[in-house]
Amino acid sequence: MSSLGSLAFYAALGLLVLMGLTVVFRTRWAWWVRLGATLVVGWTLLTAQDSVVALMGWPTTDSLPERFRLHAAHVDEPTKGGQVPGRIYLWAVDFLAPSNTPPRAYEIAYSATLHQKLNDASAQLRKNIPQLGEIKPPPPAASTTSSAHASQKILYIDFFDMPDPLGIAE
Amino acid sequence: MVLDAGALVAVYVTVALGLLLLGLWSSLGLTTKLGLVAITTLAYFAVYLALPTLLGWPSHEQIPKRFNLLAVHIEDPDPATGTIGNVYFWGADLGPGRDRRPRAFRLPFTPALKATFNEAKGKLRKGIPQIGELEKYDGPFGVPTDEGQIGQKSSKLQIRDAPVNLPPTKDIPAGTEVAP
Repeated sequence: MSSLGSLAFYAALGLLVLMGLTVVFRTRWAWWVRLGATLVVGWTLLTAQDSVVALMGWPTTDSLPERFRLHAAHVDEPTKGGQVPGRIYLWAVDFLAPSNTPPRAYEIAYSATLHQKLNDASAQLRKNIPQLGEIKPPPPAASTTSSAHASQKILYIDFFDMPDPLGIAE
Repeated sequence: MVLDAGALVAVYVTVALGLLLLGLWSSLGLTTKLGLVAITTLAYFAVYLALPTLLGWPSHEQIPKRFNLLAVHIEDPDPATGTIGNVYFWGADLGPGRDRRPRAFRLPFTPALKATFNEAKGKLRKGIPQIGELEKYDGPFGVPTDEGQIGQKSSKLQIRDAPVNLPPTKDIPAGTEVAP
């Protein structure tokens, strides 16, 4: 769990507690309303952590790092009529992250070009050649069609063979 | 107890309702009411912005009973840094009615688990799809030596070659090619 995300999450819970305390100590509502507020806040605090864990592991639509080491890719192709848009899932590590950082799962919009590039990169991975992904700016004609939502935006990524300095590629 | 997305939304609606009641029916001062509205709005934004940063990282939740293994990453223990080691894997739940998107999981490192996943990883590299299956185990093995593992259930994980009649995977490392 990222520290920034955790901080924001716990800050939100802290604010919820503050609101509960206000209801209990600063209002003259009936005792059962204040008891109910205490129970709701307590129950939320107890379940919130587990609920976040239940969300973890699923691919994020957060921005991909500019440069990343690709571990694996999984593609859901779009349906023929285009009713269901395709998705591309990447399991990757930020190139600048510390060496013990686990891979993170990302979800991005499907594009046939990227699918083809991932096929090539995956073939290299199968040969134990680590792959570096690098996001490049979209071509001028494509930039105007990009959606503001990260998961809908088509990314332009190039993959390169990475040297394995220790010669111990997994 | 774990809330799904719908229940989480319900919690936020409840909080908003509480705020509305406070605003309309309490004898709090105007400044206090405005303050509560402001901090609740901030809390909503904080969670909205925090959730994407929490997603994607490996989960230590119970792994699926049956899953299509897509990739493996092993972090060996390092006595020098005190790292206990982890086995990370990326897999898609094959249970009926489950979300088919791949999900990342983390398991505590054991030499046996490393051997199992390394073998599966080798087969994935050869283009042989792998299926993981969790076998039922009712009793505990004993007290874990690592405090972080207390409460985790013991179960036996087996990874085997996918049966031939399994629908072809769309996982790229398993060997699909795109027609030019």
